[in-house]
Amino acid sequence: MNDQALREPTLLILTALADAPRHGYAIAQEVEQISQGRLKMRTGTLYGALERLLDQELIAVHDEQVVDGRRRRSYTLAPQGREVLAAEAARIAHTAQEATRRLKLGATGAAGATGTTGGPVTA
Amino acid sequence: MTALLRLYPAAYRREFGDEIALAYHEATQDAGRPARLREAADVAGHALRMRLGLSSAGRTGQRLAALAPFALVAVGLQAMGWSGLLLRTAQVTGGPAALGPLLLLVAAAHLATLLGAALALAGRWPAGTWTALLGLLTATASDATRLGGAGALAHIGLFGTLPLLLALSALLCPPDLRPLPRFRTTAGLVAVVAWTAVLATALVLVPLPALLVPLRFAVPAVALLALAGRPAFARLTTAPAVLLAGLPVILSAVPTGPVLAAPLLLALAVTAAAVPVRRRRARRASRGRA
Repeated sequence: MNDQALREPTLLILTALADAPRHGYAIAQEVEQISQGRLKMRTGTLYGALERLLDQELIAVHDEQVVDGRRRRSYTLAPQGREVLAAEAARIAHTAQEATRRLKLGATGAAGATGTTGGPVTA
Repeated sequence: MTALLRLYPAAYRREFGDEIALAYHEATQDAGRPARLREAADVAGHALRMRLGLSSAGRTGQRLAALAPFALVAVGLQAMGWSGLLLRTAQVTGGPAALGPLLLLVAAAHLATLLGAALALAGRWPAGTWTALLGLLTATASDATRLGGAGALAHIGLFGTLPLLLALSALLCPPDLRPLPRFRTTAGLVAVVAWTAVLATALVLVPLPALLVPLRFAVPAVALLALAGRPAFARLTTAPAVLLAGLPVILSAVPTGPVLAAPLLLALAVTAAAVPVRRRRARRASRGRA
């Protein structure tokens, strides 16, 4: 893995697998839900990404079932995937925390400048 | 679905075919016809990438994804160069009617290609890359009709092949490795397309003194590269990647003359040479920290 922030599809797939193993369509549904409908992973795109994540050892095959006469595997986070996701979550949380802190500072400053609380920032 | 699965290479079909069929079935069982078609197109696209060895799991697919934004920048710049040349010719020779319908169509198709490239880089990758490719195909077909015979072949070979290949490579970029959208709202995307059109028209039609002519390349180049953004540059981690990404962009400057193209080529060579040195230093620094 490089030191760039994870791409959104990768981050969402790893997040979808963080709490429980899931099969392909369930992962796509989770991704759509986590992204609040912003990202819909279609079947081809999803399997392209799953193959890459298997290759990078970020996910692993959890188990295999037969459904309607077809073989279906479920996937789980691999130890390396858990590590990468935890690092990314920490990075995002740090940024969010910093943003909240600065917004509070800005709001206090603006309130002081305008003499009101929660008023708009005027230039 | 069986027909779609047949598009995959046999080994991949054995490994993932059952799962893909099940996921496709579940995704489309309550869906309308448009949604089913989109799902089928996505599966067909994935199968084609697998056949071409361009999946996101492979190195070639990953390299293609790193180069794709720069390929679109080059496509946009070349399209701008051609539409500019044609519109300025019309300006000098007495209005658009002087060009004739086919050349006007070529100019419009190149403009659509530029807007497609901007749209893709701004965040609508499939719509933008398809627009760029269709614009290029329209321009090439119109040129071929206009010139006919050997002239058409020579023109396509000389000027049409590279932009078509670049647009195709952007279209084939694995979807899960596409650049993140720069603008997520429709208003933002409309603004990017509108400003691209305004800027391109102004740069093409406003007469410039000879010294400022390179601006016709430099301004859109900077704008499109800014749309590609820092993450696109961060993915160029080897000297060949820098050269492959930069060369088509710089080749687009050649029609503006050697004043701009020569220093840009030199800058590209220096940047490519510096990349491995920088990488070695970064590796040494991270080993030192560890």
